[in-house]
Amino acid sequence: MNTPIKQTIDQARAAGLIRRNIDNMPTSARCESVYLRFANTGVPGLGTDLYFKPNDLLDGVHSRILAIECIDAATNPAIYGNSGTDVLSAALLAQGMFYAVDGERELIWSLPLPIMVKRLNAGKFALCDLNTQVWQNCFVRFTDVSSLGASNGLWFNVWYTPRNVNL
Amino acid sequence: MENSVIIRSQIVEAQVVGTPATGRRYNFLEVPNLSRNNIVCYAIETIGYTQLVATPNGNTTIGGGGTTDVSDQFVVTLLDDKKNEFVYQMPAYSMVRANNGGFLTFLKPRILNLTDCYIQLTNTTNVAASEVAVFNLYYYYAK
Repeated sequence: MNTPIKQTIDQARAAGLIRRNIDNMPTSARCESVYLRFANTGVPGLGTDLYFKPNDLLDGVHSRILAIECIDAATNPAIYGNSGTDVLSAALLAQGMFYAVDGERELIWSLPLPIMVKRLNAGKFALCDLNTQVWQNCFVRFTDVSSLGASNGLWFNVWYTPRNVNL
Repeated sequence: MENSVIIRSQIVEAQVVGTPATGRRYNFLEVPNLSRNNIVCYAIETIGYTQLVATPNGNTTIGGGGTTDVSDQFVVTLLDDKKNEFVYQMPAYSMVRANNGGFLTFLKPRILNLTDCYIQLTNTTNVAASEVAVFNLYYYYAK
């Protein structure tokens, strides 16, 4: 039955405002783990922007980013392959925000880090549709830096589909 | 099942001005790049103290003084560019993703007039002056 609600949903789906498969990524999607170790970046100061290292694979010209997941300590307590770097707890992640930025340094979107933790959102991804991003322009900023130390770090899983471009 | 895709998003804040009082309207603070009646809002999300302790503007999230989440103590009203209150006194708690199976509150897309929108407290416990109710607004630019 073509109800007004269904029409709205169909329009939203056609406009790319909503997407299916919120619990799983499409089979064509790939995942790249990205880390920000405070031992390498320096312990964040208030208002300091922690930029990601350049990664051509995650730039908009090479890939479409479908979701970005933040890992908290309850999901995995230490950064993979580096047991000396502790992932932040959900409470400490509530002190920071992620900023997605394009090649013209224009802010695309920003999210508090806990919103990006699947475990805290009934297993749902924070879905996005990034096509113009420049990964090294994206950053994390903390609004409160209490209890952050050099032994801490951030771990993100970036879910993307590559474009057919030779790297 | 679907959920909203982030096209663009922006943290917006409604500040408790003066001594907190129930029923009083606390308007959203202006955000210059959202103030040209050119943004179409399609989803909104309440951000509680346990999700963001302070905003990028340096304001403490509401309930921060008592280090507690008070998303169940206020309601939100949204107005469009024609001054229609198209979302009237919706409990902020119901717009927290974590409280709703990870789903965002999805709106029929409308051009929003941000500074006309407001919150109202239903309980002032653990709420202090100058704290801000924080929301994440999901939008795209009107053509």
